[in-house]
Amino acid sequence: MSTEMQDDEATEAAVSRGAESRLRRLLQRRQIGVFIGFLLLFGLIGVTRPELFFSWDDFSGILSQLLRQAAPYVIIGIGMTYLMIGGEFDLSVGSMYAVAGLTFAMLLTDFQLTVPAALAVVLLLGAVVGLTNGVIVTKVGIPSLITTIGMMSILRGFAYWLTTGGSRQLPDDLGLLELFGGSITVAKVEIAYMVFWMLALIVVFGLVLQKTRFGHHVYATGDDESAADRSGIDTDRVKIANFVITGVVTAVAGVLAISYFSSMFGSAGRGFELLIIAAVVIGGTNLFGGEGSISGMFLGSLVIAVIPVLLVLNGVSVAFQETLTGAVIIGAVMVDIFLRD
Amino acid sequence: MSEDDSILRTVGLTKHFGNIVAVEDVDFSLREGEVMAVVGDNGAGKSTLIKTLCGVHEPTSGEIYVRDEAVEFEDYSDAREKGIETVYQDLALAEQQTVAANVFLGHEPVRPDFLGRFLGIVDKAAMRDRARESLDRVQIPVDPDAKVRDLSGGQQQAVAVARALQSDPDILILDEPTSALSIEGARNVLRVIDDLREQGLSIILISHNIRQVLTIADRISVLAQGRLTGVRDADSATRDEIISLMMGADEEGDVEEFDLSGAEEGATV
Ligand SMILES: Nc1ncnc2c1ncn2[C@@H]1O[C@H](COP(=O)(O)OP(=O)(O)O)[C@@H](O)[C@H]1O
Ligand SMILES: [Mg+2]
Repeated sequence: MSTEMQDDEATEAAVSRGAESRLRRLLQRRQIGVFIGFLLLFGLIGVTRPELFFSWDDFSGILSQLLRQAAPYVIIGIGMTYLMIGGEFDLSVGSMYAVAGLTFAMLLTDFQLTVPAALAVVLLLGAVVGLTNGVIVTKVGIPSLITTIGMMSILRGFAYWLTTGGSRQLPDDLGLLELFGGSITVAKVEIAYMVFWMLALIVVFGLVLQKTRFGHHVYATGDDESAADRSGIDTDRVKIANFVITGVVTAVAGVLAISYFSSMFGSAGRGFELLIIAAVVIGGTNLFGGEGSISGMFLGSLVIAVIPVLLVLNGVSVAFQETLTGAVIIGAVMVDIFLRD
Repeated sequence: MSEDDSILRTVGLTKHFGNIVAVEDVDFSLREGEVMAVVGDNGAGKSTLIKTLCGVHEPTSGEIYVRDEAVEFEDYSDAREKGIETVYQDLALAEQQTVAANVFLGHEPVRPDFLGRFLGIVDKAAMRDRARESLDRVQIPVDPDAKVRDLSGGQQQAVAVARALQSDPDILILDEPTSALSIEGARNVLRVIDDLREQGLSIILISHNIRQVLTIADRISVLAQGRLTGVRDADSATRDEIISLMMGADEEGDVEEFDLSGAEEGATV
C-alpha cells in the first residue's frame, strides 16, 4: 500500500491498465488449476486401478458415482458460495439436508401429502431455518460459528427423532417422484435427474450472483461490510437472504437425495458442512468474503467428490478415509491461502 | 439565529462518547460555494464533527441546520437526501470489486427494459460508461474495470470522490483526503477540490496540513480539544495564528507554551 502511494501518475496509470488482464489471467488460472487438480486425482484412479479405467463398463460406473456424489455438494455449495462471498458460513447444512429428506418422507407417508405439497412444506422449512440462522447472526449478533453449530445440533437431533435411530423409506408408488429421483443412462453412464436439477440451479443462481444488484451487494457486503453499509446497502438483509438461499437449496438437495436413494438415515449428511466449505474455498472463494464464483465451487466439489471414490476403489478403510479427507482439505485450503499472498 | 448565507450550520453542537468529550458546543457554519477547512491536531474532534454532519453519529446536544431548516439525521441516507455527501477518511471502498462497481456501490443502474427492472439486472455497460464520466469529472485517469485494491492511493481517493458525486450533492465533506497520499497525489486531489468549487459545490475539507489549507480554502475553522477556537479567512490568516488556535488559544488570548516542532510536523505531512 505505502509503496504504491509513492508512485507517480505515470506508474499509477500503468498499474490500472495492467490490472484487468492480470487479474483475469489469475482468475482463469484458478479455475484451470482446480480442474487440473481434479484430473490428477481422477487419473490416480487409473494409475492405481488401471483395469477399471480401460473397461467402459467400470469407467462409466465410476463417472455415474462421481456425478451422484458431487451433485448434493454442488447444490448446497451454491448457497454456501453466496454466504461465504457475503462473509458468513453455515455449519448446519449437513443436518438440514437430513431433516429435509426425512421430513419429505414423513409428509408423504405419515401425512399422506401429495408430492408438490410435501415439497412446498420442506422448502419452506429450509427457508425458515435459514431465516432463523440469519436473524440470529445479524440482528442478535451471535457469530455464525456459534449460531449454526447450535442449529446443526438442533436439526441433527430432529433427524434422529424422525428416524428413531434408523432410517426412513419413501413410498415407491408416487409417479411424480420420478422427476426428482429418476435417472437416464447415456452410453452406460447413469445420470441421475438430480444432476440436471443441479445444472439448472447453477445457471439460475450463477446468473443472479453475476448479473443482479443483489449479487453485487453480496460481493460488497463480504468485501467490506462497513463500506457497503455506508453506501446504503442493507447488509443485514443481504446476509439473511444468503442464509435463506442456503436453507432452501439444502432442502432441495435433501429431497433430491432421498428421492434418488428412496431411503435416508438419520445420520445422512454428517460432515457435509466441512466438505462443502472446502469445495467453496478450493473453488476460489475468499475465506474472508468479497470474491468467489459458483463455477469455481462446482470444480471444487468435483475435487471433494473424487477423493472418496479414489479411496474406496483402493480399499482404504472408512476410518482412514475420513482422516485422509480431512488432511486433504486442510492441505488444499493451506495451498489456497499460500497462493493468495 | 440566521447570521449569514450559510448552507449548513450547527448551533451548540456537542458529542460525548461516555465521558470522552469529542466535540463541545461548536457553532460551525459553511457558506454556499466555499471551501471551509477544518483543522486541528489528532483527536481534536474533526472526524467526530463531520460524522454528526453526515448522519453517522447522533449529536449529544445541539442543532444542525441545512439552509435554515433544522434537521435530524438517523443515518447517512438522511444526510444524503439533504444533499450532503461524505468521502470518509477510510474511503469506504470495497477493494476487491471494480472501480465501476464502487462508484455505484448500493446504487447500481439497472437495465431499462421490463425484465431488467423486474429482476434488478445491473446495466454493466451503462455503469462502466457513467463511471468513466464521473472519473473524467475529477480528471484522474482510472480504468473502470480495474479492481480498487490495484489502484494507487490517489486513484482510490478519486474513486471515492467520484462515488460521492453520483448523488449530485450540494455539500461535499472530505475527511483528510490528502493525508495518505504522495505529494503528487495530494496536488491532484486539491485540484479536484478547486474544480468542484468552480462547479458550485460547498465543501468541507478536513486536514491537519496548515500550509495546504491556507492555499486551497476560503475559510478555516480551527478545533482544539473538541472546541471551535476560531474561524479565519484564509486570505488574511497566518500560519502562526492558526497554529496558536490549534494549540487551544481563544479568539484573543495567546498561548504561553506550545510545542512548535510538533505543530510543524503536522503542518508538513
Ligand atoms: N466512536 C468513538 N468512541 C469513543 N471515542 C471516540 C470515538 N470517536 C472518536 N472518539 C474520541 O473523540 C476524540 C476526537 O476524535 P476524532 O474526532 O477522531 O478526532 P480527529 O479526527 O480530529 O483526529 C478523540 O479523543 C477520540 O478518541
Ligand atoms: Mg480524523
